[in-house]
Amino acid sequence: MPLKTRTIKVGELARVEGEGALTLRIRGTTVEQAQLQIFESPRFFEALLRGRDFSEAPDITARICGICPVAYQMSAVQALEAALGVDPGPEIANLRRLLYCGEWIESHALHLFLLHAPDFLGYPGVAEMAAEHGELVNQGLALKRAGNALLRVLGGREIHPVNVRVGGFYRAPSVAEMAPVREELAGLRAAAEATVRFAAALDFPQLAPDYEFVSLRDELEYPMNRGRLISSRGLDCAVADFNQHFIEHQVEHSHALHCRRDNGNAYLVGPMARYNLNFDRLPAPIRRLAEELGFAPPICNPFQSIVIRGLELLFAIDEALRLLADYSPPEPAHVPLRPKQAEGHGCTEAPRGILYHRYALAADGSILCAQIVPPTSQNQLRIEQDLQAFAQNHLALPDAELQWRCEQAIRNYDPCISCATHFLQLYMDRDGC
Amino acid sequence: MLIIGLGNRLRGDDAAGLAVIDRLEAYGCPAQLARSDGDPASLIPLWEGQDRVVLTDAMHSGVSPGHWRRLEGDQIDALRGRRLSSHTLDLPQSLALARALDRQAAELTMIGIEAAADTHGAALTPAVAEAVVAVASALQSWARS
Repeated sequence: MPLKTRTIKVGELARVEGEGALTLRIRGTTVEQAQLQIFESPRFFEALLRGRDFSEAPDITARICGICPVAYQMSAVQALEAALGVDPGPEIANLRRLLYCGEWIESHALHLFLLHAPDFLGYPGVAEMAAEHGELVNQGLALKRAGNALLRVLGGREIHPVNVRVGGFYRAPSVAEMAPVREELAGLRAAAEATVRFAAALDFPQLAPDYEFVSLRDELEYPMNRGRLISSRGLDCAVADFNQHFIEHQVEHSHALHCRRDNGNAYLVGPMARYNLNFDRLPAPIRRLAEELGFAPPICNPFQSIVIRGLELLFAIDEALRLLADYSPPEPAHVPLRPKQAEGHGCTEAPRGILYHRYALAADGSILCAQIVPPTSQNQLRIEQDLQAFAQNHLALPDAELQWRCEQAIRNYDPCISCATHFLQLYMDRDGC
Repeated sequence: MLIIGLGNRLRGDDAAGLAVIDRLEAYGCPAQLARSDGDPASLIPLWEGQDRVVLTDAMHSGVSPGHWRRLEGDQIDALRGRRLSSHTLDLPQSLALARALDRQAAELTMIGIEAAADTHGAALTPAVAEAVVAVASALQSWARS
């Protein structure tokens, strides 16, 4: 009997960041292929950095993303300081970690409450969810606002902060400027813990891919700005060796380069990878909460990433409060720099996972070459593989439900397609009986 | 009265709402003035509990560039359809969210200025720049009434 063709088409997948589409090819009872097509126009950031002064890199690369500009600034300054052989010291390192906490808080709160939670509670969007879960949404907005406040005070403004420079900060805020932020964050700790408990009690669809998790690993801290690259399959390398172990590939269906391990395999970066590889670096109260709720590692179901984001949100608040407790503005807020011909590598933990930068500089400090590998481009292949497996296990579902579940599955990764190259559309072609 | 200008100065005509606030400041407008990038986490607390709020923002409604009009209620909701932001909620979504949370203003009016282009790094197009002057002048006299 000839196979019938079924086509399922979603005009636009909402609540992800960027423009793209997903096509599932289903023949009979087999999902043959899942392709994440990123047709966002190429943005040429690496090319437009060439010829610019090294000092411009943090502000230029911050424009890659409105939700994780700090990540771009942090990886850029780390790479450039490595090239110039400068260490701005522990006070600047702490201030950068504090700024990163602000970004983790606002980015995780946005995704968890406004974009991801409606999936689990069965609402088309946050406005519909708010009618019945008003308190929850108010908590989310308050948490995001607190993250924004930290970015504004320390970064100069909420979107595309302007206070970060190679060698430190243009100006360190006064203790008095920091005080209201600290108060706002302290008042939200209970809400953040309630968020973790809310997320842990959700129903999760089953999916357990065999991931190779990749994240930074620091000797002392839960990783943000420092560490070596490690994986759940034994990788342990310096950031400078990134290109030996991770290979970028051009694929026909995406304007974003796919990044694979040197053996050709997909890997996963982001909150789940960080958490599974660095659980022992979390403070004891966060570990105890995770254990109490039954979310000690390994966590391998991507739908449970909402719980991990909740735990990281709580961690970022505690960490920000710790750093603010004995805050005094470093003076000066930056160290002097002397340009030289050199190459440097940087890798930091963006909210969505590791973000690698490499710069080659000429003797006058102008940028000869730049390479930027964002987290979503590293997760693309893994998202495709997970979608294929997930759709395969749920082929019996009616089209509309399967489509909704697949969209939900994509949001597990909090993909930032804008970063990777922007709006996602989902197409399903089914050849079935 | 609170007048909130919305927009992004780096995106051509999208800066229209902010440019209106710039002019109102220069006029010494008696109303409270605020600027916002549209993030609901910041925007909702701004208008929450206010008696009278005027939002001014660029829009794409299909009329000719620089045309501006007063919109209320359902007319603002009708601006939905074209997704303007991928990183957050658009204005109709933020208004719907505020209603659901009972965190809206008692009275809210929007002055929409039809945009021509949201080109990165561009200045306001001439028709929109003219409209900004007209809107600021109209709001200034309205705020004094």
